[in-house]
Amino acid sequence: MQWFKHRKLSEVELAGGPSSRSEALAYYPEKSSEVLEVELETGEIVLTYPLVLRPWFLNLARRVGLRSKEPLTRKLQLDAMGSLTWTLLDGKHTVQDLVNHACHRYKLNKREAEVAMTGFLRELGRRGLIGLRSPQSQEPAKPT
Amino acid sequence: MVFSSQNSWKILAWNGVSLRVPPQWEVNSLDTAYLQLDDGMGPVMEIKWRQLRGSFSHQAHLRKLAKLSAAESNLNFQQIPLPEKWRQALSNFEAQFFKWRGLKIGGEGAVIYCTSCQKATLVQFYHKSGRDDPSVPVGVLNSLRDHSEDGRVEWAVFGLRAQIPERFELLRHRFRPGHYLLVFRDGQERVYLSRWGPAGVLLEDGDLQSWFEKECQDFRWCSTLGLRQVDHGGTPTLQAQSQRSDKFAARLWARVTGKLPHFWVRIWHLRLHNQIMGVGARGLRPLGEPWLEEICRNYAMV
Repeated sequence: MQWFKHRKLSEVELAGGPSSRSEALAYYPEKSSEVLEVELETGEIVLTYPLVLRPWFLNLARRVGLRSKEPLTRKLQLDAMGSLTWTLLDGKHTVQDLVNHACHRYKLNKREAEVAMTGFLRELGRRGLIGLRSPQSQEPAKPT
Repeated sequence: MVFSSQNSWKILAWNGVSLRVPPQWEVNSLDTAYLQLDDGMGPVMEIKWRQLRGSFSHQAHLRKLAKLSAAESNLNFQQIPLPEKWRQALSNFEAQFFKWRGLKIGGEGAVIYCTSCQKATLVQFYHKSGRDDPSVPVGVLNSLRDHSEDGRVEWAVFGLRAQIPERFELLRHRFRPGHYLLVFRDGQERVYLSRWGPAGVLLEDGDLQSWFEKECQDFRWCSTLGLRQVDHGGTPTLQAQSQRSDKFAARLWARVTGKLPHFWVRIWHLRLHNQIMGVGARGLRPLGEPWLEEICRNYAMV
């Protein structure tokens, strides 16, 4: 017997996302308003973002007195390429624009730039640093 | 979809099979003898091949495909005579045509056998809408080559171009952002093709030698102490070569320890493409330079 079942996404939920690579590349990445950024002298950017913990873990930590009320934060230092990409996340550039920029700036193969860029954005999204806005939506993105 | 003139099509070559495809098509998935291409909207073409030793039966393979399609509900598989244009495009091969139609997507393809190299190939093109240009599959098949005529196998994927002597087989490959690696084997000889990038970022804090010695994790088997700068038409280039004994006792010791004592490495900075290229070779015996020079000459980015 399986104790923890992963919930399968319904067709309606799946229909809300992009159905092809070109559609996914047309999305607009936007920074989360909860992220603080500091630029170092080297030009690299350090991001400070709130750590998202599961509610049951937070409750448990509070009850046993392991946690103060101040929000927990984490820091992430981006390298030169990551910092440059971060500065372009203004909600006006699509993922495709970022890929084209990386291709042009670093003379990368298009597919290589796509894989690198989407991997980087996925990692930022996983940490809640960015959200993706669909081309049809006018609302600002929520962190993923 | 409207395609530009076939003159602008790009070459795709992988493990003995080469073809020309529209510039929008990119490799989506690849394995030792398999390629899937994508046009940004989804898969458009698949090709897989196998080197055979015995006889080949088109009918047996088509029966297998029909059986596979029967397992899928709402899939209509048909074996029909080869269209005239396909017949002309595949005149160098023995080929059988098939077509299938599902609920949302369909496809057509061919089971191909080359009598001169005994390679069997299965190729299929997907039809997502009724607006697919029928001249595209014909153009692709027209350019299909499954063996080389000059003893060198061409490789052309993700902007990388190379030619490797036919005697080498692909041992492993890796395509990650920033690093490509192809490893070939022929008996006790290995050839390594590497590409690192972007060079502007990798060489930000030093030159090619310091990057290779401190940062590069590949070609660790070559002695970095032996690396020397060589002149290659103004291209920053490093080269190293083993100076070990080729006596019987040394070879025996190498066999016992499982190490390949002789090596040859060349690393160069391709400024035009902002990449660092590397060719390495290892073997039980001293490595002949002329064929390695030829690999380096034909190893490039496009």
